[in-house]
Amino acid sequence: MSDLDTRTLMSVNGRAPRARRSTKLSFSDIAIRVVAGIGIVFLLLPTVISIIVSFGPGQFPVFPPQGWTLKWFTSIDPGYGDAALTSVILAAWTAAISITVGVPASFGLARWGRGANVLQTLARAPMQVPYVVIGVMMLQFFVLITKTTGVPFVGTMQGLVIAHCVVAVPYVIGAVYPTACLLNTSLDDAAYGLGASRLYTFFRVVLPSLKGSIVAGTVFAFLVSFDDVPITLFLVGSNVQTLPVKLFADTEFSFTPELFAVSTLATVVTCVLVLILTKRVGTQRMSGASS
Amino acid sequence: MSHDNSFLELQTVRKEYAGRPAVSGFDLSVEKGEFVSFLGPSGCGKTTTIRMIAGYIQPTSGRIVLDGQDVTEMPPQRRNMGMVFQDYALFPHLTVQKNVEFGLRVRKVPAAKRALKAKEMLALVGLAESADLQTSQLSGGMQQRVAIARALAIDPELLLLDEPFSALDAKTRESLRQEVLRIHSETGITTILVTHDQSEAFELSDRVVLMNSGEIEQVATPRELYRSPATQFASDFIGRSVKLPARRAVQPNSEGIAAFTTASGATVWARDNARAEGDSVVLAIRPETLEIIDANGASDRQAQTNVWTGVVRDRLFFGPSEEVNVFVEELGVELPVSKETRAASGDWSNGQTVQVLLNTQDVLVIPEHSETKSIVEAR
Repeated sequence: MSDLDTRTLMSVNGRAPRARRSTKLSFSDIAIRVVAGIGIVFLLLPTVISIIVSFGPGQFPVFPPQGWTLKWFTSIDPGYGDAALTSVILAAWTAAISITVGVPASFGLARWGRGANVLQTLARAPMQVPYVVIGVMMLQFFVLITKTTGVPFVGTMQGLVIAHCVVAVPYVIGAVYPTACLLNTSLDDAAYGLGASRLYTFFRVVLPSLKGSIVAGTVFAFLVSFDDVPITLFLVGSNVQTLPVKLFADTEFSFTPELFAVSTLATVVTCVLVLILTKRVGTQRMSGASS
Repeated sequence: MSHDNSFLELQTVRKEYAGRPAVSGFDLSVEKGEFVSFLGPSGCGKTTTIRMIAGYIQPTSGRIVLDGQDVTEMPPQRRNMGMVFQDYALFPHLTVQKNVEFGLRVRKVPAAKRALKAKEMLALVGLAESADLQTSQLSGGMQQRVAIARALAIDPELLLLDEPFSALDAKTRESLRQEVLRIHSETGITTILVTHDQSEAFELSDRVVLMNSGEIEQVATPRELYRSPATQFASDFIGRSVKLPARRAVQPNSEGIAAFTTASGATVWARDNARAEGDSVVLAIRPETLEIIDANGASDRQAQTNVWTGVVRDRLFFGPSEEVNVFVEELGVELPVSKETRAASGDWSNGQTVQVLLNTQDVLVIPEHSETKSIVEAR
């Protein structure tokens, strides 16, 4: 037996007492946990580092920080507050409109039958187009529309909401459509048989049954919008500035821990939001599992 | 074709999908309070028919009349029928009680009255204790009982049961059948059951509508359907039987007993008045109508009784009953003789020569080219 084998065995034995509490863990169980652990660390490490860096005292972001301070948090430029507010309003509008469009669309597609799959793929196509391309396209499109109608879209809230909905609706459909497909048609039939109209059935039977995936879709739509740089970059103006775009622009001239402080706050806010939603709806429903 | 006391009437109802008939020439009249089953193999059109009655499917032609009113074009919302589905179709986001109240809520019945009615219905199906549970906390059998309570809460004209037991295990199925029987006798509601299970149809219904490839084969009481199947399909689908092609040979005597000659040249006596001499028929013999007697015990039997000599081939023991397979050379077939397990019922060993007895009235005589009863095509 080689040294390596012995070490592996020892490490397995070393963990055995802890494992005995539940059912005995096999080697493959442990291997899976280790790999999963590495994955989680890999995903979370950048976020954790940027949070830690935001507490550093130096003029430049350093890791590990040379001390601890809250000064970057207390001295955040009020411009960030405005940008954050714009981002939240933008994301809220995007989520609201995407849900209003995406939920009936998903339900209709699920009940359509033949051909629905093609439409459904088309409806989700914007997810496959690079966001930069969508940004350029929306810019051209808006310029054209403004020329003919005189309604301003570039550099306005309405323009951003429309552009964000283009990429947010596919997320809503992606979350709601599969659940809507699983939704039994005999539920509708049962409701009709009991005297319920189609509209009553949609609001009193279908929507409540899709609640979990609708919440998930809302969260996705909100975050996609709140998060977006590549599309927004082409469409912001002097009046409308979103938080991620402002952060992105500011890294060019003032790369201070202040930026990290702002992103730490943004991370905390979004985490709290998602946590509240998962608590209220339950993780199972979030992932779109039906009854 | 209208019947004076018919409550539900289907008149030459036809449904086509892409030009191909799923149901055709469906004529049926159901009396108030009757329990009728649609029985048949899958794809025979029974579910299509019950869904047309409920209004979920629009017939291509024909009429559906309920209590004197033509409801053919009426949407399901206005038909006031209680439908119970194979997969229960309970609303997952509502409690048991709220599920039962659903139809009353739609009808804007005040909350207090609603709750009272729901309680009453839940008590009827034996679930008074479970009113506040989520439907996902209930077993399949309980869920189906909630579905029945929900269907009955709107005081429907008809109770429609679409394969309500097929998702349940054997024990639950049996107890729910008893429950449905009891509910039917307590409420007296006109009920239609769709099933592919003949014992279910037999146990529950006053009349059975046997269907095959979109058409009615036979409408009869369970006993009639079993004892005198009108078509070859009916005799194949209902129960087990051994089939012997034969030809009518001799006029029936004063007791109505005629002789038939089988392909192997043997004579089988059967009670039959409907056939002319020379008509081709199929004789069907059910295992439980056969009896084994000792090789020389038939001497005191009447002349025109079917007694054949055969050899025991093998025996199958099931517990309450057993089956002895006897090869009868005269007929050229093996006859499965089923009998109850009793100490006194004798024991036979393989290779033993025995006599098989069959009473003339137990032979089923079926026309060879049995046609479904004449159908008036809708177009």
